[in-house]
Amino acid sequence: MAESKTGWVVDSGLAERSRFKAYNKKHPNEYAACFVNLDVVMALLNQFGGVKGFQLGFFRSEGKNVYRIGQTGVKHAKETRLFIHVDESNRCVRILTIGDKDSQPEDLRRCHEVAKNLKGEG
Amino acid sequence: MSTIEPMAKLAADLAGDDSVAQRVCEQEVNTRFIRMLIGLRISKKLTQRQLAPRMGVSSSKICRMEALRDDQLNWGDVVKYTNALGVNMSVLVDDPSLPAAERIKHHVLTTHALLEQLRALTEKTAEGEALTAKITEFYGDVLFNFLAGFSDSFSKLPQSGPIQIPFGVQKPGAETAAANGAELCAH
Repeated sequence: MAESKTGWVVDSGLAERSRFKAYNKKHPNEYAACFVNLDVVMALLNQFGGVKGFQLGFFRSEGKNVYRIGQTGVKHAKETRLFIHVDESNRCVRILTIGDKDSQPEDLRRCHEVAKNLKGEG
Repeated sequence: MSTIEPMAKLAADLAGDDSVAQRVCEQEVNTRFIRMLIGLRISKKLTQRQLAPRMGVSSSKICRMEALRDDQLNWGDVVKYTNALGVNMSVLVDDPSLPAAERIKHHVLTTHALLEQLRALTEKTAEGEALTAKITEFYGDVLFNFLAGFSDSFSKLPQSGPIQIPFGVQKPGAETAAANGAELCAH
């Protein structure tokens, strides 16, 4: 678990590592850009305490506390989605998976399942 | 220290590739200015949709602009964006080929101009003594931070002796300012 600045933490324990490895090989710049944007989101979560206080073009809710972070600042980019779960009560962002627009429906289905299990545990 | 480093390491760990960390750091540098602008917008509690009419553009235009790298930004758009936020923008062209002494002089003069802006506030606003007290306190902070940094650098000079202050070439008031500074240091 990596601490980002103060307060909120990033948990990569549920991340689908094989997807991250494969995606980085195919689209390294988009992959890096998503993590820079995740860092922006972490800074804002620390500033506002939750997702309510800010609106970003690359940060979209997908329901059930699952959010997607897109790439920015990459020329001729492959549209990329880094999926995270935002747990405001534990001040924790869980990294789930990464993919592109083609894999989005299936990625989202799995992320919602994880979110449902997390809610059940909570 | 850059705050991106923990995130860069995490990205590298997930990819199983150490070179990713460097790529994340480079991407962070390439988008630093636009992220600063986005931070300003958010600190003003403005959404892209709210900012759009102030800029005279569509919200999708702002969305596209905020997704660019710094070197892709259009200067006119940046000016519109900062104007719409109601913030002043000043450009500091820092030429690293100039001697450090020249660059320090430039920063000192810029700092003086900004302190004067603050002082002028005390004449314009009706808040009077409360504002003056706050600004005086801030002047103290500025002086403390400057002296702390200055003292640190000065102590590292080889065989540093007493500093010679060229009062003869300073503007009127400089001696008083120096004396005030010395007095504050003593406190």
